[in-house]
Amino acid sequence: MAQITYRQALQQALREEMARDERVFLMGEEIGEVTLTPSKVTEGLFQQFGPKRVRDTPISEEGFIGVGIGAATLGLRPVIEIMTINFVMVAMDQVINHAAKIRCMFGGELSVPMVIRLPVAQGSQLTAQHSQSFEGWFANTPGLKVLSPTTPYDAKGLMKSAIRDDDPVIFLEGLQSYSERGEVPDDDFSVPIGLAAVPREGTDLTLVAHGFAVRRALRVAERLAGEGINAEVVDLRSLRPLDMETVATSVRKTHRALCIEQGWPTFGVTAELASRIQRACFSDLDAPVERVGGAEVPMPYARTLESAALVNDDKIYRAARQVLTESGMLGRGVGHDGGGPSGNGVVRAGAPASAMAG
Amino acid sequence: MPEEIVMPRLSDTMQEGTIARWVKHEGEAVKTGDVLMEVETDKATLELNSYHDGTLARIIIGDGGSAPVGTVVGILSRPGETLPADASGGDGRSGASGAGANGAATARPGQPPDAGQASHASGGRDAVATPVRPASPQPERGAPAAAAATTRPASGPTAGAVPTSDGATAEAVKASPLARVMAEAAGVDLRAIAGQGSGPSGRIVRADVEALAKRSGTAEGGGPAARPATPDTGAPATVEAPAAAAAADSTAPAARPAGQDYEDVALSRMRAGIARNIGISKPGIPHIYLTIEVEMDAALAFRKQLNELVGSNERARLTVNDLVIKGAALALRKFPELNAWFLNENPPQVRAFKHVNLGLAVPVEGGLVVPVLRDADAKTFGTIATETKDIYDRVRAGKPTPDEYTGGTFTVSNLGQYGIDEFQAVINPPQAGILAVGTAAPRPVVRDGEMTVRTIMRATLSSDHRVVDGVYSAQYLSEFKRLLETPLHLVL
Repeated sequence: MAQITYRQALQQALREEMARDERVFLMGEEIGEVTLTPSKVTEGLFQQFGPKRVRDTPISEEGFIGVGIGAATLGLRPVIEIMTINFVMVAMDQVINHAAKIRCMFGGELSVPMVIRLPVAQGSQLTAQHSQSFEGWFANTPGLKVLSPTTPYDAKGLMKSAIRDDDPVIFLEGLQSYSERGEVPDDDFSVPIGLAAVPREGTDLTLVAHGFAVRRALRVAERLAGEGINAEVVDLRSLRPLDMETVATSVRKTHRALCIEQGWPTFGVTAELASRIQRACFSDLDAPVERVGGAEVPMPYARTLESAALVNDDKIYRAARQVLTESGMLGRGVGHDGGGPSGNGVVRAGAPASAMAG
Repeated sequence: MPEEIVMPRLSDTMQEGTIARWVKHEGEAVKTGDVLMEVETDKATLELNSYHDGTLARIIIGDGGSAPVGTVVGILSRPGETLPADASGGDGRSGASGAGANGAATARPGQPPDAGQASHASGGRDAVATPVRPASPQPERGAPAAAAATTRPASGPTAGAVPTSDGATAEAVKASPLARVMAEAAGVDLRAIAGQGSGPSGRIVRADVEALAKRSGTAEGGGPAARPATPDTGAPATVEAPAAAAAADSTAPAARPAGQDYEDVALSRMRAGIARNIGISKPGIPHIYLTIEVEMDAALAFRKQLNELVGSNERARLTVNDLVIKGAALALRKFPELNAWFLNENPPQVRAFKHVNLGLAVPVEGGLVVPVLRDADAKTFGTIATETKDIYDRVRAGKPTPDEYTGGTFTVSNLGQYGIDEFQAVINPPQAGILAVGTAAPRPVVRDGEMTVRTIMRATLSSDHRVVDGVYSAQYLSEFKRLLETPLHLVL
């Protein structure tokens, strides 16, 4: 066991898999000869494995994802880095129309065993076009698997599973998580795809999140603990397939659910979660399922506005209190009937601002 | 006579329509066949033609207004008639001046649905909440006459609106799903604390149900103590507690203050629930009552025979009421229209139940409960005998399962144990019939011109006259009588 960073954990996974299986190779912008890419996950691999296994690409996501798809159908196992999730948009046709569908369209004769790594980052005034988090789009697509590890342990374990999986895997990494440390075993282990984790057990409220938001949820849970509220945190780890069994078991126990995501919540990950939770746990719910996401705006540049648009611990905390209020735990508050979530805490569409619980 | 122009039903699924525009104007002459107005439905915009000659005397709902199917939207006066100034069939929406056919319901182009509409969004039943209207393009339709197409503020009575007066139905009480499930399991009535829960807007939550259950002593495990109903005394086992005896069980009055000669005693929650139910059922449902006499000698002998076979297994012994249950259930198979419920909707419908789940009226401390014996027509006597005993035991112990009280389609009530000859029971909604059975006792009868003695039991059927009529009810009772008088039929 060692305490390593998320970045190191991913690096180890790539190194070990490339050593184990010579079909595994890497592609991406500035990942090889000079690792200028912000993730720096691939640092040192070019030196170790050479230019055939670690290929620097031009700035042409559509092109090199297409190359990766081709290579994968012919038997190789590419792991492709897109510098940030925002840049995969120019290659969406490749990802959705080809990578996701080839297996079915070719009657199972071909498959696309590739991994597309998508670092996600928000904040630091990255501005509108570089601050997005639309994992929901991929999670909505049959034919893809979508993973979102939070801890170094899960990062390494899931990367190994992703590489060994014969389907195209969208692998969401948290740019803000790369320096986080955690315990990772030295031996060859993997984390199964499609299984959520429960990093914090509780009885009063279930917080469901993935990726960087899990860290926020854990902090909020600590804060709530100080107020006598014992919250449980579910780390999804896998968005598609989604482990509803773990989530539902938790909500049936706590009777209250708050779903958190960093991106725009409308038609997002929390929308799917909330729908499935009400379906699976209808009779066990003591309050409506709450959702928190980023503000429904293109991310502003001005620091103050950006701060207002991002999901932060405070907003999650307030949303948690709203759930508790809705179930009568914090005295008679004002509820909100109907409507969807909004970025800044719990004000829902159509509800007057004055109704927001203090 | 002036003719009412009503919102027509232009498609099977249409529940309400919007008047896109009146083609005829107030005061205009109309000939049969002329187009009166254009109506927007959930599917398309259609024309409504006039079926009569006359004059469009009054427009009650103007351009852009919505109304449920069947609402009077205008008045057509016949040739030669004039309307009194204040004659308006509908909501009296437009001013008598008729200035501009648009009444208060005129829509404002390009405006987003107003708060009234948004507040309905949570209802789910409100037909006005913006449905998809592929036939009507939204604000692009251009300015003046288009004012009609854009928004439809919540106008007019809404079809299918749930009555929200507290206590109307259990469903109308705001409570979390968990609270509902717990309330049913604990046997507490949410209506007792409707609107007073700890959640927002008084929503009832789990904590409230727990507190309520504790207060009323009906928490799981501490159930209402039922009056023992002896399984085998030759008398029917299920009885209906006379109201007077039960009322005496509620909170014991303190010493009467001097000078007052009455005391107001709060009803127990169960009694309050029963009172509310009866208050809805008896006045709400038009009951008709038919009584028939059943000769029980063959049935009693049959029962004796079966019980001899059963021997010492107490649980499997049949009671007379078990025979009544089976008879009532089998008769329902032949006369299934009584196994139903009148749905007071627009248009009215009858819900025909697919199973015969008999409610058995059982007295408990403080009132009456009606647990359900499912598929009573399909069960063997052996099953009925043991299951009814299980049900009574569970009711007495206060540990019914949640679906023990739901899903009943018809009820049987037996006061024979109290020496009652006959009585007329009140239908237990949501059902259409209840069979009330009295004592089986020896009586003088005339057979073949001679006086003799037979064991006679009187059964009275109360049925909902909106669902069945007298003849059908009579046939049901005849069948019930036939089954019990030739009891071998009960095992067919």
